[in-house]
Amino acid sequence: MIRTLFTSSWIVLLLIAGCSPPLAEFEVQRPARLTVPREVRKVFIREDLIRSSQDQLGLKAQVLQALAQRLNQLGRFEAQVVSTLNEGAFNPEQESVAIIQGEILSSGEVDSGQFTDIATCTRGIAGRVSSIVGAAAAEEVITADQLIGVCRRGSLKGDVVEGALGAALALAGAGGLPPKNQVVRAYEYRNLSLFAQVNLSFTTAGKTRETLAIRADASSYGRQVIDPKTFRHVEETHLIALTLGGLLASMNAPVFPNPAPLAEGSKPRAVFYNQPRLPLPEPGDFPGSQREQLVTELIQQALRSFVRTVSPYKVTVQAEVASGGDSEAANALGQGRALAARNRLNKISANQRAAADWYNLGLAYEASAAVIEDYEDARRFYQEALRRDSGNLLFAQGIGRVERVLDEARRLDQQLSASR
Amino acid sequence: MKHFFFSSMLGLTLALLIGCAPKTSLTVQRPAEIDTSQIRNVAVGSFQVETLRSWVTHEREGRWESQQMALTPAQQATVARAVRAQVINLLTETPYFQVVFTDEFTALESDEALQQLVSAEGYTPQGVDAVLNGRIWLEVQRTDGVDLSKESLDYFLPPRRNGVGGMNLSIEEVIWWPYKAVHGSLALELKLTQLAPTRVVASTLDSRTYAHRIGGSPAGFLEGAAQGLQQFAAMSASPPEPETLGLPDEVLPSFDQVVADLASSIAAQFVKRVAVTRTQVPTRLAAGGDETAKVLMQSEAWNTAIERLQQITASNANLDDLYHLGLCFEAIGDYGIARNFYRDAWRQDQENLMYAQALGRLERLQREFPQLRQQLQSR
Repeated sequence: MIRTLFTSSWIVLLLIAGCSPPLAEFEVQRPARLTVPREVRKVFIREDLIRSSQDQLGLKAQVLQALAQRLNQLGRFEAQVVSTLNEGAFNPEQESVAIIQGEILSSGEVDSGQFTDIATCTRGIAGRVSSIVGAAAAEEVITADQLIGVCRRGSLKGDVVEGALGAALALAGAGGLPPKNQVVRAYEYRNLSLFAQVNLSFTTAGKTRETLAIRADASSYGRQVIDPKTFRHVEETHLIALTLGGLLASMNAPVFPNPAPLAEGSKPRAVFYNQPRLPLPEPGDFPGSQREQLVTELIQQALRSFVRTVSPYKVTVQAEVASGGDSEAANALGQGRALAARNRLNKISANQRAAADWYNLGLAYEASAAVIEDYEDARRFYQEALRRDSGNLLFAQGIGRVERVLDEARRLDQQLSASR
Repeated sequence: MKHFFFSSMLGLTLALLIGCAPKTSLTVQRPAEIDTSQIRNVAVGSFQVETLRSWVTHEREGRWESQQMALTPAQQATVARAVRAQVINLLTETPYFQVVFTDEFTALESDEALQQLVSAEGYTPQGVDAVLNGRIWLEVQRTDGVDLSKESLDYFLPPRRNGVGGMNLSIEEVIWWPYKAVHGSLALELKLTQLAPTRVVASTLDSRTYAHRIGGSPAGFLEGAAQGLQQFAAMSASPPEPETLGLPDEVLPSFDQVVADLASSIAAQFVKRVAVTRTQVPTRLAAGGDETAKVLMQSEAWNTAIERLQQITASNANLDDLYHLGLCFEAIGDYGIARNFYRDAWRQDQENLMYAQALGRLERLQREFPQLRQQLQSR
């Protein structure tokens, strides 16, 4: 009864989660945390002033290139990596430039070891099938005991799936709830980790020198790799009679194949910390080009805060599309065609627009905004939508979002005027 | 079991109800704990490593063995710079201080050398009001050990052919549970020395410890419940990308990561002491009042909410609307006007705890305000 109720609740929750409304996705420009003087356009990333003695993964060149590329992409600065700064690179009497210097630290580890777990093995058709499906849903490793029972460790997700399927199979007549035994398993794992820290400063140089920003930001990646082939049962409990081929099948008392109550096989044989340092991950530790991809992401993340401190940047905003209005416009917004939605909704006369249309019109203006007036129009349309449907949180969220953009607009304008 | 299930459902329902009460969040400025209003330009000196130890330990059959990781002076200097960078990171995030970078102070190797320099007769600092320097004591230990515990293993005895005798049983078994752990502790002394007149304005010694363990014997009841809640949250959240950045719980952080996390935590505490900081405070909305204004406030659309509430309260002053108007002004930092609206609401309903709490919050700000105003005006 309780299990059925629990399972039904999960099905309802999954159905609710599966019915989420479409989202419009668009970019918004945000101001930098600090305002760099507008005359500063050129940025020199000085290779000679960036320490890398503890850059164990050898990321320096990649970090510097990624930084220059990102700053150039955002349009505020003209950034270049230079091995050093020659006297003729700029005239300090006539122009101000920025110099980036600092330090790059990176490291990684391969941490190998052995763990123990206790798995529950199920038998019978219903038990085996539901265990296999539960393990697959929760990505658990399954093993088989001597009686060909299906053994898995157990997790909330796997247990929910197994319970639901087991109950369904039982209802379909595939046997009652199956007998369960527990086994002790030992298995091996390898933990891979990567770490990068970027300490950078941003100094303007011209008639005067001033360090405007310094940041230290780190990013890390870690993954546990467990090879299912390393799992072994070090202790099983089941009736000895079954092991011995029915010789003791007529005994009344339970007899177990555990002469000593010690699961000796779970004792680790190897010592894993016998070197002061753990080895660095090799490229072969990651499948295919995964290492390169991870390192690129690691660098991007470590640089993100520094870039956002000195340069205006873009962020992706996801906003819900309102339903109940013009469906074609709503579909266009969901598909990222904000201008098409804008044109379509503009053709509907003001007194025929539903509240959802006004909101979607605001969203279309916000998503395709090119000038500040677009945001002002968007706010007006959101306000009109809220006037028609006064308790609608979605419409109010649109106003809040646009108010923030308008508040930041002056600062952004000041920061970007240099690059225009 | 049934009782536990219904209690859980009741708890969940109550939690959901409380969680669904409309809320908004206000940004509140907090003054520095230490008066540093005379200081604007701060130079950051060197950070000196007093102790830096890192070692690995393993235990088998009750025998413990350790190996120390020798760190070269260059590696020690890197750690010192990493900690220093984390402190500067947070210091520059507050607009309160202007951090000045000058080689004059970074070149000084110790606190003693700094004190000698600033106390030397005739010394005049150029555009620097104070110097921040630090001393570091750091230890990081990694352990490869084994827990030993007696566990009950469940076993089902099937019924005999005549259908009787089936039962659930359990046997006890001693099991070895290998584990790995990392334990780190960082003590950081930070000293802010004003240059003219020469005096130590703030000196703090804070320590942080970090511990993380993977593997080992199964979790106890409370830990098991916490793990269950985590799994529940993970199931409710959208599935993670197959390869995303971040360190999952089953992977121990590296030495550098431990240093970065500990330093960042201590630096945050120091910055709170010496600089004006801003915090987000979740605030409940009143049950009554204009619903449109409430959804606007939930969405932090303060300007539109103020426009609407001012129109409404001009003709019909509902007390909750007055309270909400106060909240809007508090959110945009206009504490004086906010207080007037809170007071208007409270005068007409002196039993209302929410109005009184809002007034109390602002009175506290006012008490701190001379300090806060002094700290902000000196900038």
